[in-house]
Amino acid sequence: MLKYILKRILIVPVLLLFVAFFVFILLNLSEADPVLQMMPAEYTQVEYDAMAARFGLDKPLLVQFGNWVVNAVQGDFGISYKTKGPVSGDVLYRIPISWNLALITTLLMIVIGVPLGALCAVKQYSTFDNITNVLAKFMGSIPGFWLGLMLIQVFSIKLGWFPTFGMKGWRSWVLPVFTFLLPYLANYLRQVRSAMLDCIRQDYVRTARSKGAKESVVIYRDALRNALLPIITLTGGIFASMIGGAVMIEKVFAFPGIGYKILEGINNRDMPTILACTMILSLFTIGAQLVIDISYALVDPRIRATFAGKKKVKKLDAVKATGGGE
Amino acid sequence: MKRKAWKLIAGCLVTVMIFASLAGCANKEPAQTSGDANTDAVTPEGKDAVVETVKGGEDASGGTTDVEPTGIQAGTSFRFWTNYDLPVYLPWIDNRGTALCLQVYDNLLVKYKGNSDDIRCNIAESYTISEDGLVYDFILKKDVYFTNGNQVTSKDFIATWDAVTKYQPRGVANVKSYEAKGDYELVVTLNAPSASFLYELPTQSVYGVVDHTLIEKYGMEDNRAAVGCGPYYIESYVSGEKFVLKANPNYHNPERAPHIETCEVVIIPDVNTAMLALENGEIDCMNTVNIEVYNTLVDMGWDIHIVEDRVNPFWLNVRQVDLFKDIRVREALAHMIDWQAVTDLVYDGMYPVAGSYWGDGVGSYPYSDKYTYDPQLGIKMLQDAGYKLEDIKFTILADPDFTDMEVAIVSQLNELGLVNVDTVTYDGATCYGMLKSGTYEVFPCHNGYGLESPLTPFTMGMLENGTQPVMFLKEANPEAFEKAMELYNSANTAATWDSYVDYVSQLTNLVQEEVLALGGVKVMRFFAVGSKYKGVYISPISGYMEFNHLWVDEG
Repeated sequence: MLKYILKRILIVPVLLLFVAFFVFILLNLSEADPVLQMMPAEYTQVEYDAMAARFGLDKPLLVQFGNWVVNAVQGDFGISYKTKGPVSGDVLYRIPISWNLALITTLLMIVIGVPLGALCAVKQYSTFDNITNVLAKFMGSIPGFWLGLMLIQVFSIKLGWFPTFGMKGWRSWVLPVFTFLLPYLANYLRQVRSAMLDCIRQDYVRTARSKGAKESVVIYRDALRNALLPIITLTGGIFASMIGGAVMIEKVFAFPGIGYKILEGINNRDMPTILACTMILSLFTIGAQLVIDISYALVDPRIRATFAGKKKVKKLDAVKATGGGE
Repeated sequence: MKRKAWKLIAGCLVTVMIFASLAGCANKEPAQTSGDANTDAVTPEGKDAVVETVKGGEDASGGTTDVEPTGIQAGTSFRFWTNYDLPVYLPWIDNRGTALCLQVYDNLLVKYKGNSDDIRCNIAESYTISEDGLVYDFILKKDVYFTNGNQVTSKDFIATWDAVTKYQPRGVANVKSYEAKGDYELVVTLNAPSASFLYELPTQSVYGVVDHTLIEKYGMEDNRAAVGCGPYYIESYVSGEKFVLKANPNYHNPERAPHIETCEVVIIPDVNTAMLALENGEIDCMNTVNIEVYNTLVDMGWDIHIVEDRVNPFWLNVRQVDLFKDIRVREALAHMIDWQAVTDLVYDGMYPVAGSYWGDGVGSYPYSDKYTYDPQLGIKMLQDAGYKLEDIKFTILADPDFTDMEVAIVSQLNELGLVNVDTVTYDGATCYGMLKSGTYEVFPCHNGYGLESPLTPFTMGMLENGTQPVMFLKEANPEAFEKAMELYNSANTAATWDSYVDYVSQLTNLVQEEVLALGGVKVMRFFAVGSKYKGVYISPISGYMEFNHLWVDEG
C-alpha cells in the first residue's frame, strides 16, 4: 500500500513537468510577441534587445523553459509582463482563498448532497424525490453570475444580512459559497441518487434484506458504502475543478482567487502569470486524484485485498524459494 | 398515475414560484433620461439627479457656497471603486495605477485641480529653462519629507528616474540626462526642445518621487519601497481587495492638502456588483463610460458628474483592405455614416458627434467638413469612382464596449446598399492584440490621445515602428506622409506650447483631409459620487479624480 502511494507521489513532478511544457509551448505558439508587448511606442532595436535579455526572452525556447523550471522549483515564477512585478507573491496569496472557497463548498455539497441523494433513491418516485429532482434541475440550470447578483439583491440590498462583495469576515463567504454550491449540488445529488439506485438493486442488498437485516443497516452499510465509490471520484474531481473554476464567483463577489487571476493573465497575454496559475491548478488536480486513489483503497476492501494479496503471494514465493513451504 | 401527475404539477408550481420571487428582486428598469447632457435627468422617485459637464479645473460638486476645510477631517472616509488590481504599486511599474500614484507620489510640478492650463510648482520651488529649451533647472523645496520621515532631495529624483528609464522608457524618451547638483537642485537635459515636457511632467505618475534609500534597500520591484511624499500614503494593501490610503498630516503643499482622513480604493472586477455595492453604501463613487450603467445610476438617484473623454475615430487599415487605398472610397464612406443618429440611438444623444478626431474644446482640434452626413453624395462618389456598392467589403472590429455603436453603423451602411460591410466583436485583449499587430480592417480607438501629449497618437499610429498602427498615410499618400513627418518633427521640437499645439493641429488636419478614419463620437465619462462629498475635481480626458481636494459636507 505504502509503495503504491509512493509510486503515485513520484509521478506528480513528472506530470507537472509535462503540463508545464505543454502550456509553455502552447503560449509560445501564439502570435503575440511578449517583448513587443512591453515596449514603449517608440523603441530602438537596442532597447528591444535589452528588454528581451532582461526577461530572458532572447534565449532559445528550451533554455527559457529550463530556466523557468529551475526558478519555479525555488518558488520564483518570474516577472509579470503586465505588472512588471514578481508573480509568485500575488499568485500564492490567492491560493488559500480559492482553496477555502472550494473546500467549504465541497464539504457542504457532501453534507447536503449525499443524504439527500440517498433519500431520493430510497424513496424513488415519491413526492420528495420528484420535488428534489425538479429543484435540482432548476438549480443546475441557473447561470452562476445571475444567481450571485440575485442573491446580492435579496440578502445584501433588501435584507442587509451580508456584504455585497469582498472579504469582510465570515459573512462575506455565505453568498459566494451558496452561489457556487447550488449548481454543483444539483448535479451531485442526482449522481448520488443514481449511484444509490444502482446499488439498491444489487443482489447483495436483496440478500441482506432477506437475512432480516434492518432497513437502515442495509441502506447505510450495504448500499450507501458501495455507492460511495463512484461518488468519491466525482467529489475529488469537482473539488479540483472548483479551485480554478470559480472565475465568475470570484468576479461577481470580488473574491481575489486564482481563477480570476488566470483569466486576467490570459486577457493580458501575461505568460508568467498563466504558467504560475496553471501549475498550481495542475498540482491541485493531480493532488486531488492522488487523494481519490488513496481513499479508494481505504473505502474499497477489494483494493486493499489486492495489495494484501500481492504481499501474501510474494511472501509465499519467498517461502517457496527457500524451501520452507514443504 | 393520477397521483404522479399531481406531484409533477406541484413540483412545477414550486419551481415557478421560486423563479418568480427571484425575478421580482431584480433591478427596476433604468429611467429614461433627457438627450441633452447639460439638462437634469429625473428619476422615477421624482428626485432630480444633478447632471453637469465638468471642464478641467471646475468644481464638479456644484457647491460654490460651501467652504473647504483647512485640515484633515477626522473620521471621514471615501471609498473609490476600481475594477483592477495593482499587485506592485511603485509608480514606474504599472501605468494603470496613475490615479492612485498621483495621490501617493508627488511630482516636481502639479496640474492644479486637474486643470491642464494651471501648472504650478509643487516639490520644485522654482525652475528655469535655458534659452535653447534643452536644459531645465529645478530648485527643490527644503521642507518636503517622505511619509517615513526622510527628507526629499535630488538624490531621490535620480533614483526614481533611473527606475523610470528602466521600466517606462517612454516616460523619459526625450530626456538625455538628469543630474543632481547638491541636495536641492535637479538639472534635466532634453534631446531636443519639447514644449510638452512641462505639461507631461505633472501628469505622468511615473515621475512621482520615491525615497531612494528604500529603492537601494529593497530594489525597484518591491512594495516596501513604495513610500512617497504625496497627500496620501498607502497604509495597507490587500491583494485583489483594496488599498487603504491615509491622509498625510505633514503634507508640504497647503494648496493640495488632503481633507478626507481615509480613502479606500476598492477592487471590484464586476461592474454590476459595483453598482449594487454603491446602492448598498459599501462604496461612495464609481465611474463608467457605459450608458446603460449611467442610466441605472440615474435611476438610483445618484449625483452624476459628466466628464469629457476622448473621441475614438474609426481608423481604416489601408494595408489590409485594398479599397481603402483609394481616397474616393474613404471620402465616400465618411459621408455615409449618420453619427447623430448613432449617438441618438445608442447613447441617448449624450455622446456628441465629433467634428475632428480629437473632439472640440482641445488645442489641437481642427474642424473638418469631410465627415458631414450626405449618403447620396457618398453613393454617387462610389459610383463615379467605378465601384458597385456590393464591391465595398470590410469588417469593423469591435470591442464589447463599442459593439452597439458598430452594429448601428453597419446597419446604416447595409441599408444604403453596402451589404458586404460587417462587424465582429472580440474581447478587449484580442482587439488590442489585433490593433498592435495591425491585423484589423477598421477599428475605433483614440490611440493614446491626451491633453498633455496630443502628438502621441501620431507617434504610436503613424511612425514606421509605432506600436499601434492606425494612420497609414505612407501607403495612402506618400507625398502627404512626407509633409506629415515634417510637421511631426516640428511639433516634437517646438519651443513653445502654442507652436507645438499648432503643429499637431496642422498634422491632424492633414490626416483628416486624407480621411484616414471615418469620424466618431466623443465619449463621456460618468462619475457617481455621494452627495455629501464636495470638492470633486476630475481631469477631463484622463479622468483622474483628485482625492486630496475632496471633503465631507458635515452639515
